[in-house]
Amino acid sequence: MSPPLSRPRRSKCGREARRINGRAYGPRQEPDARAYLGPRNAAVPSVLPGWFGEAACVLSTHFSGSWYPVAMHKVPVNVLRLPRGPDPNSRGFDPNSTRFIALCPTSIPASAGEGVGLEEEQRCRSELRERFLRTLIKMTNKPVNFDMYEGVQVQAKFGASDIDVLNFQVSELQTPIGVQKEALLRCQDMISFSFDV
Amino acid sequence: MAMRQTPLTCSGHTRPVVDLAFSGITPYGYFLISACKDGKPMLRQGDTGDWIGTFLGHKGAVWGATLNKEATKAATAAADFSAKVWDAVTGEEVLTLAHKHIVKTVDFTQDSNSLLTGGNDKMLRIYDLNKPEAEPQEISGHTSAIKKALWCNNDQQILSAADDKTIRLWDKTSSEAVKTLTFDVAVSSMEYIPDGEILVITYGKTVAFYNAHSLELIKTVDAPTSIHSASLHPDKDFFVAGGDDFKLYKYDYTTKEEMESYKGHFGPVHCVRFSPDGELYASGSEDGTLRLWQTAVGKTYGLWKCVLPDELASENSDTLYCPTEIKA
Repeated sequence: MSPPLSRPRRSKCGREARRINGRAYGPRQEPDARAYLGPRNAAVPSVLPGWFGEAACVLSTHFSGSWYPVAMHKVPVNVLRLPRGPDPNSRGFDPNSTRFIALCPTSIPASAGEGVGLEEEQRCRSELRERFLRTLIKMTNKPVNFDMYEGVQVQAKFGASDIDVLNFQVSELQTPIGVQKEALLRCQDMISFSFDV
Repeated sequence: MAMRQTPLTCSGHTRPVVDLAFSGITPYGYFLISACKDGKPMLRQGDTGDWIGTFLGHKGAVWGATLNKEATKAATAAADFSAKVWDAVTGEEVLTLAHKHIVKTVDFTQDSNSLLTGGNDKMLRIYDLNKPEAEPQEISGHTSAIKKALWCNNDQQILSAADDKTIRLWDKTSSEAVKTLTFDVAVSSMEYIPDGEILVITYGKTVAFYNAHSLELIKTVDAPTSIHSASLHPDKDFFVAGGDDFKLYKYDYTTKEEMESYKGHFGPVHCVRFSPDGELYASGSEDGTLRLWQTAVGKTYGLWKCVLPDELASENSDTLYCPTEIKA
């Protein structure tokens, strides 16, 4: 590794330059100028591990003066791809990921133990779930009364629910300040809802 | 061949990212949670930055977020006066803990059985997650909003930083303040390193290191700009800090020298944390992005690939994404 610089080095364009804390400083140049400010005599090996390459640039001379950073001929680290962003259609937590499969029970934990009690409970759960889903189907395009928190009671024409039952899409929502043609009701804000079959 | 740092940008948030936390190392790698003013904290894979899921449910800006060691539970603190506990595998909301004011900070104990919360109501609360309906243990004493609260010393003591310009060390059993540190300006962030019992505190343009038991000052380092957050590397050879001038600074911990600074963010850096293996650090900014930075620039890790010069000539360039220079 080359020893710390003790005197200014000359760049290819003949101007003085110093290395301070890993950045080369020199008189301000055109933004597009890319003078290579390498050490003149140092034998820098052509193949260096990344950390060593960076360490070779870190020198500890301190200097105060009106120098400006100059573009360095450093190669940016290559990247295989960019991090994946959020899926606009779902909240994620892929149930097919290895972690999910390993850590999550495939069903809601039952209160009954193993054996007959468990089967009975699962049967009841399936039946209740099916009844709930059929209720939602039956409710479509019918006026529904929603009882919500803070004593809010509104009526609206039910449209659809999202897959996680987080929101209900409704039309003609009757509110104290008028009728809202289209609206989304947050399910966690609801206590109950009722409609005439 | 000198290598220039290529940060990995994690997009997805639509408002400033105000807090982030890593989990411990699990058999599935390690994870990162980010708290954002858009109210939708996100869970990401720690080494690649890949989005895993978003915790939906908060109705206000999320000010604090944390993961437990095994990354099975997440907790968030929000401006909707509630702290929520989530299942970090399914994304489901497990618990909502109502508060009387904005909640700013949450922290799990090592065994994930208790949750510490603190916020603008100046009160620290400890919830037993096995008995969530029970009244929390309350610790009062701060005279203004609590910014950050952490478990320390084997979960027997609590460290809290507040806008009243003090940091207090509390004993969990007695709810009494054991020690108080007073500053001239409010502390902007706090990090506790259990291995070594070091506390990293930032205030004004200073990064200070304290002994977490005795609250004795170890050293201070001054930065060129107002620092919002700093993090010490697990091996304690360097630390990183970020603040108002959008840059990330890397300092040698032993000599206190500034080693490098990195541009990349388009807004003030609000939070910075090292990963549990020390190979990368993540920063969250006002610009709504998280960036992952390599500790050893050029090393092959996660999505970064070290390419040697002879490989560059013969390598099939389709397999590599070569970042183009982007001037800020």
